[in-house]
Amino acid sequence: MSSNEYEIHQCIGKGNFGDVYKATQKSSNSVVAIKVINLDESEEDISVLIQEIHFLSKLRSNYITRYYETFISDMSMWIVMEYCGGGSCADLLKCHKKLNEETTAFIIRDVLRGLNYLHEENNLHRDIKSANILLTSAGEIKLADFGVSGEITMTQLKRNTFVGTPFWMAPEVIVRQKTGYNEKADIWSTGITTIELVTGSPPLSQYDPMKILFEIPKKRPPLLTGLDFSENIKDFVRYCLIKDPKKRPSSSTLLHHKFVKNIKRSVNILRLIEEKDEWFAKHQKYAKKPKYPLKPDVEKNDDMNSLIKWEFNTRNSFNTRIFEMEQTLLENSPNVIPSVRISSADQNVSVSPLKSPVSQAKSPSFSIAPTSPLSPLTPGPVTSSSSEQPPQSSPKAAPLSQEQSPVDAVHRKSRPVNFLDDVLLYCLEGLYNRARAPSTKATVRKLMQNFMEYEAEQPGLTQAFIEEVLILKNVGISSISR
Amino acid sequence: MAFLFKRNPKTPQDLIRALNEQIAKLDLGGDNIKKYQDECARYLKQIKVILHGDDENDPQPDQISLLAHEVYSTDCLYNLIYNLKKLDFDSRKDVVILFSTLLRRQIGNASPTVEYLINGKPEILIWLIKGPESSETGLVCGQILRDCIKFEVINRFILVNPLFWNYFKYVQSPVFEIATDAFVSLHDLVTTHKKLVSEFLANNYDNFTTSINQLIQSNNYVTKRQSVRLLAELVLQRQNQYFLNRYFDDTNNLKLIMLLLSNKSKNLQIEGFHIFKFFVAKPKKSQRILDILIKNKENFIAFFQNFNITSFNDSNLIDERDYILTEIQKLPDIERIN
Repeated sequence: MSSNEYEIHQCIGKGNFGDVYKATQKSSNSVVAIKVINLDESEEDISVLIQEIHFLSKLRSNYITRYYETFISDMSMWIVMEYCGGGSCADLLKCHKKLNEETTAFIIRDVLRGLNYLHEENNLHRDIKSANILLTSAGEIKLADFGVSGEITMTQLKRNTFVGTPFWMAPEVIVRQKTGYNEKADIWSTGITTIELVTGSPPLSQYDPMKILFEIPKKRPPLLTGLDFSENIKDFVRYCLIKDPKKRPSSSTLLHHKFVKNIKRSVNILRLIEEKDEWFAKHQKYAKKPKYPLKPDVEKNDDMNSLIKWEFNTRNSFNTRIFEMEQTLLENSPNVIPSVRISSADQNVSVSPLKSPVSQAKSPSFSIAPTSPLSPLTPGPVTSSSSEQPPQSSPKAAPLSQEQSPVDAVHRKSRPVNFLDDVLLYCLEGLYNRARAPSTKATVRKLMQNFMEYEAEQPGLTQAFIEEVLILKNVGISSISR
Repeated sequence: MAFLFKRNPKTPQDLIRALNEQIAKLDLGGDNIKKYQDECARYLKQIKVILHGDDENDPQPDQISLLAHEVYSTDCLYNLIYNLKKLDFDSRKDVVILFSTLLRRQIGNASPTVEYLINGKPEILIWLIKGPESSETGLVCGQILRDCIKFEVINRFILVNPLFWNYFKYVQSPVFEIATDAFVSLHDLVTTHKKLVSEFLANNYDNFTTSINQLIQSNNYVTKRQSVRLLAELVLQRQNQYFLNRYFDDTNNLKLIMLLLSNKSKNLQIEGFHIFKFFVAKPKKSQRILDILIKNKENFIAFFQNFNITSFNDSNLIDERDYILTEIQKLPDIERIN
């Protein structure tokens, strides 16, 4: 199951969180509607959408827009539903202004059948009105825009976040809000929709919907009056609009009402749809532009596309790029020695395999002695990014590639040791490598420069300082307390 | 609706017996499947009326009691679950109603259906656990299973069964509804009974962490987001203390969560943050965790400077981000010597 199985045609609707497309399933050549919801843009909790899909997948009725399947493509959810090519009853009203009683009865009968199915399953529609009654190109009637939130089956952009639309809302829905009403609320809305279909608009629609909202529970129920209408339809509407939901009949009872029971075969809904399509072709010229244009589906592994180069190795390394290179080198070359630090160099240790204290330092990317042979860890391109390098301690640092570690030298005291270059600056370079932030590195660099200056001013200062540290080391750092 | 009741079984016992007969015929198959399906559908509708009444009649406790006894003694629930696929689409939902109503039935403190499922016919539970293996009936089984695990004994029965671990496979099913429904079940199994779960997580730390980490690395956006969300829920549970301590000491976990922070999805970043914050805020961090945090200090600071959460309108989130950023800034700038 993937988006490749469908050929996407034009965008046919826009919702808050996604666009609806007409599409063809390639294997079956059948036309479907696909709602594409960008999950990363949607503020709706994914679990609510999933709940909605589970709900839809448990419904199977000829009077309800059918759900087919869902799949995930990148960050979008594609929901495949039945395509209703005939538009909505609200579209019919736009063109024909009002419908005759026979046509209305034909539509309302199937609305009741759809509701009967939903209600038997203990579900509510919550938003019955002409805009949510769709027509297939074969002239069948289907309920849409239902479900837990109505989000998925929604065919049009909702302007208010209310559940339901005020003109069609049952009094108990307004008074008790979300909890205290049942399936009878849909019956009220069906009554209002009946009035809407035969007159062109629901009662009170000349007023501001938010202002009349609290009038509905106070007012007497609307009535269908006038000589234009038969007693049957007036009676049907009167039943639907009984204020007390307990006394209002159920959908199964209403299906026995004369208004919907004796429907003439002369109803030609296809002609009405055709005329509507012609009317729309004249009056609505522009196609809908999707809010979130579809991007080609690229299969990719997210974790490989991390926006940040994290460092996960627990060994020291300079940055991830180098870490990666280092890892491959470590795996491939046996002559690379893991870094050995002063702390691990006891009296007898021989660090001779190390070319220089610097090249054994953790970061292969900087070398204090550019003339020293490149270690296997320093591939060309990395060393070339020399802007990050610490200051060169002194030209004398170059011969650091002697066979001895400074620690070794300190202990043997047989050969002259340059305490500034071999010991102090070496340690500070280690510190430089361990520093994470550029500012810390800068501080260490300053310290190095300062020591060079002090040594120039007071030759021997470094040696004395190191001796002090070594004495302390022998005494044991923990024993110092002042 | 009187016409429906012509030549109908008189008593609840007769009704259940008649239903069992039709199911047996369905099971055998043959040409008359549709006829048997319709018969089953009709009997199930009548059972629904006995259990819940209709417009004219209220449910009668003695009738329900007779019905329940007959259901247990004839293993009717087993017959129904075993042949669920052969029942028609809407009848399957009536099976859900029968199950959930019987489950809720209590005599004193005893729940006879729960007792029956655990000691009488545990095969039913096994079938339900394997529900997601059929894309046709997976959702129905899932719904019943979740009704069952509201009872701790049944939840325990499932957690100790090796079949439980199949849920980590089911949630990756290519059929979206099956995968997501199995996830709801998985979620309920490890969140409903807090004490049971804390014990389970403590005993199965390695298996569980490996399994959920695999889901977090899924390429399916929904699987990824839901599994992180589930993990976040688990780590918020104080009872899961043992699990938490181990989880937040494991560098592999930290690594996966850091990858979420750097995911291109804004929501995954947020979900990741809700776990990441505990790695940082934990008072006694293990040295290896600390090492990774220190190593990436600049990365984190850069990340939090671009961490766009204003659209979420969540002042707690902003406070938490600021707190975590401060904690990160307090981390040492110098790495530890290995």
